[in-house]
Amino acid sequence: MGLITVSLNDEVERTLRKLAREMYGNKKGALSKVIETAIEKLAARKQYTEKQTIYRAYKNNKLITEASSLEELAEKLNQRGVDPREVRILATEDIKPRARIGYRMK
Amino acid sequence: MTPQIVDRTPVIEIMIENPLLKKTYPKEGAVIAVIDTGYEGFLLIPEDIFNHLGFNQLKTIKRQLILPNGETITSEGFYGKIILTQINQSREGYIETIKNLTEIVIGTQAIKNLKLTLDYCTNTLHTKPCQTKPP
Repeated sequence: MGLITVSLNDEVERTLRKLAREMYGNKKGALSKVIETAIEKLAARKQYTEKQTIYRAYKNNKLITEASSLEELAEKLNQRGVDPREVRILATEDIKPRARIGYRMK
Repeated sequence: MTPQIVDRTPVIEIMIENPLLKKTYPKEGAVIAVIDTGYEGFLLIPEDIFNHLGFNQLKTIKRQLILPNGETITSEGFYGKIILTQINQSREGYIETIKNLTEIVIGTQAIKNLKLTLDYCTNTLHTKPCQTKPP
């Protein structure tokens, strides 16, 4: 278990102490538990965000726009007056160049 | 409700969308897609549906698909969206087509966050979203 010293502004410190009291009462280690929970949640959220697919539209090898969903991308292309037929779309989640197909295919 | 096991084959109801051209298949209701856990991709659809959705008008991406006998064939695809109508969930992925395909096939990319319970005793397939994040 590590011991670290951090600086918090007054308002954040008040919130931290209030949360600790509400969640764990006056138990020893309450402040640490609140911070641990907050950090775990932040880390999970960051991991989720990193896994989100981003779609990028290119025209003549120039990035036109990007979005986190196809609907958003369509909307952004429409706003710029770009026909989706004219752009190449690439996604951050790669398409495997070779994939296995099931036994239903003959 | 559409049977979820047809001729001993599990199927799932879906709607397919091309958000870039605002086209949907079918226009109303849903179609059934065969669940094939041997297919590593997202969704395979017959060429006529691929063209109906306008994917052939976009700058498609080609790749190789490996058949069970080791042979490879070329598929053509684009990014699209499916709606799993029975659980009202949507997801996006690479939708592809190959020549002479007659059925819609849903692969492991599309079902990776689902709990599928196959019950041949009652001839039912239960579909639920995962309760916890898959590893």
